[in-house]
Amino acid sequence: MSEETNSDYPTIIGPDANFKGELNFEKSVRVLGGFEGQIATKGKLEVASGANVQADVEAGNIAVEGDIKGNLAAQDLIELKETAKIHGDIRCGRLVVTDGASFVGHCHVGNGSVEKESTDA
Amino acid sequence: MSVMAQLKKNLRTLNHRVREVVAYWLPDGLYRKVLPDEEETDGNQSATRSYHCTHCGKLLEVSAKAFSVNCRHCNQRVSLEDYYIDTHHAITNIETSGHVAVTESGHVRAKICVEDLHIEGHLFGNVTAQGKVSVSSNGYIIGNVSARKLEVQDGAKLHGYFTIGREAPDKPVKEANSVRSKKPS
Repeated sequence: MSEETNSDYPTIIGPDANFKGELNFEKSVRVLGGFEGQIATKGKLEVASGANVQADVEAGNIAVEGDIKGNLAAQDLIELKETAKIHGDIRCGRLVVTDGASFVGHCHVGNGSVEKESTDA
Repeated sequence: MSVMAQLKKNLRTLNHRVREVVAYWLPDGLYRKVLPDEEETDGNQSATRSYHCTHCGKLLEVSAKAFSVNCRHCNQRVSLEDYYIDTHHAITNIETSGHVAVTESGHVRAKICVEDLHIEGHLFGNVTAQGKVSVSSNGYIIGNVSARKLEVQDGAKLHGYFTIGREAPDKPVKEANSVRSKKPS
């Protein structure tokens, strides 16, 4: 793996790893394998193609190429790439969906969507 | 490319643009393109297009010039018109196997059942698309969306329940269809 990728993502859950539990981090995490539980961060989460995540995620930015079952909340941007498959609700300030992505769930996109969720809770 | 070929190409492009502009206005701020894409009709009078029936969802092969057709599977009338909406448009169901585009100044309150949908303005209502729903950066949708494909540009605002991809139903969602009178038993 290149040094550039390592600096972008100090934490990587590899393709042969399966993580169960609660994950908190400051910068960025790239998930290549399996994850089950909860993820909370102010940084960026990237779910790579082939990864399988069953979790409720709160993050600054989220980029998805793999499968996610769970609710996603991002302060800023959620990006669904063409191989992304999402089952769950989405709340974010900005959403970018590439043609080909699959998504089933409630969608709240726009300014104030994330703040509204926290007041609802 | 020879000069003649280049000239012909330019003329075709210009002609295409003129045909795009030529349209007749309908009430409620809707207007329809007079002719389909030039490439499909030019030099081939029997050109056909594929549409999905808005009632049963099955594929239909019809003439590119047709405005509407009777579905040979369910025998319902299917509109094939394209709509460009650039004004306020409310209290109407839009049901067509063509394309619907809501421009930046467009404001629609309607249930929409369509092949492809492009939103640059505001849309309040449920959407069922057999093809693609694309929302530009100024687009705003409040309503449930069911479509094969979704394309959202940065800045778009969406609120509703979305079913995108293979999970989207083959048949249009019943709610998105206009209310039809039942035959008396």
